[in-house]
Amino acid sequence: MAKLAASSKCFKCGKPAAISLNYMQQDLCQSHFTEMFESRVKRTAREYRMLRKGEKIAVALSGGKDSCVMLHMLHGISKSLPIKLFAITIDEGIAGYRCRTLHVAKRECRMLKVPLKVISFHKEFGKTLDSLLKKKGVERSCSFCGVMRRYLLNKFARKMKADKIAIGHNSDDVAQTVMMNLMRNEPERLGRFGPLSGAIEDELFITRIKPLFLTPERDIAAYAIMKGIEIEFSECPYARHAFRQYVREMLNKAEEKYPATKLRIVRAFLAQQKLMQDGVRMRRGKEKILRCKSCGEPCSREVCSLCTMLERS
Amino acid sequence: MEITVDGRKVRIRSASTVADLLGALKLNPEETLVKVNGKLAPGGKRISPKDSVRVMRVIFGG
Ligand SMILES: [Zn+2]
Repeated sequence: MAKLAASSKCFKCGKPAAISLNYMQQDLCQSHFTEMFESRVKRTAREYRMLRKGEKIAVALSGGKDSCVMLHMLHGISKSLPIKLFAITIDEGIAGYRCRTLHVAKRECRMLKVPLKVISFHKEFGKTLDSLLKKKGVERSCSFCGVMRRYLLNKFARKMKADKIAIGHNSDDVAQTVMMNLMRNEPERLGRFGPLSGAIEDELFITRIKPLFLTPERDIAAYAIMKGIEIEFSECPYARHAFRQYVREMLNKAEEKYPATKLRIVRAFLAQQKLMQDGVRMRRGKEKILRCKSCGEPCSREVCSLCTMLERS
Repeated sequence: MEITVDGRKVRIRSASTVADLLGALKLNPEETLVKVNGKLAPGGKRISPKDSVRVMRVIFGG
């Protein structure tokens, strides 16, 4: 196992450290950590041209640590770059879990004076995730929920005339997604995945941006604690059924033994993505974005995944 | 010494540093943050039975 130089002093200033960052083999004090954290998020946003002056950004706010920290970061950026923020929270209807994170989402928006729109599965689809999974079984809960959430976020962000949707995916999520795609042999899906939304352009699709794309999940938790952003570290009750959970544990075990593994997966993906996107672009001449026959939303087949899933066609 | 893990009290044989403690608890440093006397602490931070130590597992889905 890699033994790390744990000096417990800040690598930059020599004051008592607050955190060990094994992936960069550094211990940092609170102020040097938060400085590094903020400049990394800003650099990611700049590098991928996520934000432009005057844009209206819909922040996908679950009330978990990632989206709350993202909201704080975007709010900070909006002081120097004029962008307009509003938040969308999706209430999937998960008893005993969502009401707590919903409370956090409302509190953070009130504090930062960011308008919030809450949209529920129950109102939009006529069923909660809980009731849907009773029928469909919990094994694929996260894919169902993901399809439904993406659908509503896109639709409502468009309705509210947003230019972009900001998603709180961190670099751990990215490494997991890349690994899951490899393990399931679904390479074409990665063509649409990235820090700035996919290769497909269509006027009904709102561009998705991921300012935390290069930020590790543990750093986000530490930043939230240091900044006094009160977040519950709770887990969605369905998450343990997911394949993602398995991959997360696998990658964290690898990370413990070989620090920086997860970020290297993300970097490798970014390097390969350009090539993959060229492939998608070549195909795109032949492929057309269709409109779902059942609901009219953009999709690549006659009936979109959501309507197929809910058997609405 | 007595410490807190996710709000629950746990007794362990003494550990000399935060990293030692996580090893004794079989917790992955990649999934945890540790507060010593109310402040976040790095792996090399020395601890003693007098300290108040709180281990938080912070990596969760959703
Ligand atoms: Zn420092």
